[in-house]
Amino acid sequence: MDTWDTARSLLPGPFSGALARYPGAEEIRLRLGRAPGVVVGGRELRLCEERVTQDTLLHVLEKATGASLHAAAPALRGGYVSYRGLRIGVCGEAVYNGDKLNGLRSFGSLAIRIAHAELSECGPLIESLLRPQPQSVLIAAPPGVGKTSFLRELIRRAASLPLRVAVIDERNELSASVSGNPQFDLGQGSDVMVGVPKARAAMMLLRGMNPQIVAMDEITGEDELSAVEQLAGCGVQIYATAHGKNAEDMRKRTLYRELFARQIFGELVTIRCVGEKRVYEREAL
Amino acid sequence: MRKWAGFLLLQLAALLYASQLVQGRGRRTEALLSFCDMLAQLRGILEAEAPPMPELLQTLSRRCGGEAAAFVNALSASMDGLGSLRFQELWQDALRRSRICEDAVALRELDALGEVLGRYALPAQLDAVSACLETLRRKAEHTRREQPVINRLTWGLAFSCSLLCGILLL
Repeated sequence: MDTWDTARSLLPGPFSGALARYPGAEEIRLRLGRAPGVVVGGRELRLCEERVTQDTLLHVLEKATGASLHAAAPALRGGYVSYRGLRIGVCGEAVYNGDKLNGLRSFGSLAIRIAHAELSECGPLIESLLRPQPQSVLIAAPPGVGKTSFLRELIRRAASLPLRVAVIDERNELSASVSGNPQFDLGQGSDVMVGVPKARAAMMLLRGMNPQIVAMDEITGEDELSAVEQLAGCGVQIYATAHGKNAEDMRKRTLYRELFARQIFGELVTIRCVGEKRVYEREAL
Repeated sequence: MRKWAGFLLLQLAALLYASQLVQGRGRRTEALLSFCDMLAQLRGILEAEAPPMPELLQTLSRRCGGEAAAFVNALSASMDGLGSLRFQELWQDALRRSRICEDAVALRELDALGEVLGRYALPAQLDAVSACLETLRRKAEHTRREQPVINRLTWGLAFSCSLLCGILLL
């Protein structure tokens, strides 16, 4: 079952039937009281005329969490739930315990993102990143362009060489693990740590799994930067993603300026959309 | 002679019927008590660990006994159907295959609980479990208190009715 089929299986009958007309759907937007939307080629279209109800949203969340919304509370506090490689963004009313965000309730919107990147064309680029020696790679792109799919493919190919690749999958998006079993093929030599914050997981994996490469999605904080530097200092190569169009754009932000200054990554891969196609470019840092 | 045989048969039939009623009532009370125990366990596990529903059902299945264990096992086995059916429907279907469905009050309360479990935040689920448990416990307590009296009445009524019919027959 690919991610489009998975997304379709999440939807109630009428919406699922309507999605059949959009095999290239990139996102499904469900907003309470309004008609559902489908994003194709960056444009949002009306999926069907039937309105989204609270029951529709609960139906999707119930399926996505295996009737275990309570167990998905930590992810919900981050504004999303993961389901077999899909990320489902959630909007609702915040519930606070004192000044601590406890979770969300009275859901108002869901955004189901479907990974669609066509990766066959980036095969030679990935091969060049792995040989003669694997090097630390930072993958940069705006949201929704395919950073995670590229990273997943890079991990799979590296782990199939086989290199020991430790995967930090904080949001269970890279591996889509179910009961410890990755639903995506991440290669023979991959070890996956799910649900642990990246900085902590990096140290756990470094001590416990003796990795040659550590892969993680989205460097967004100072603590992750420090963890990455520590990994690099131990001779481990790093694969990571970051939000940004290119090196120049990223240098405008303090975090990434600092990241580049520490010279951890040797290569930057940028991804951009040209029409419905993805263009992959590589530059040395 | 034939009249006496008929009299005895009538007595026997009435007592057998009374015995069935008493046993059925006993089984319903046991089912009610086992569901109370199951709900108390469910609340404890949810409070302590809040595990995903399939894991929760497996733990419950190991800890529960009686009619509730059969219900939990049936529900656990049907979880593969989640998606095509809602959890609430799976829950209700398993309930209707259990003896607890003979008790209208318990069935109504448990049905309502199925609408909340797994769908809402943890505090809402815990509140729903507590409310359901409270009602079922009250009902079980009431049934347990009343049962000996009702059983005696059943036996007495069966005996006296069959005796009356026998006297008329003779």
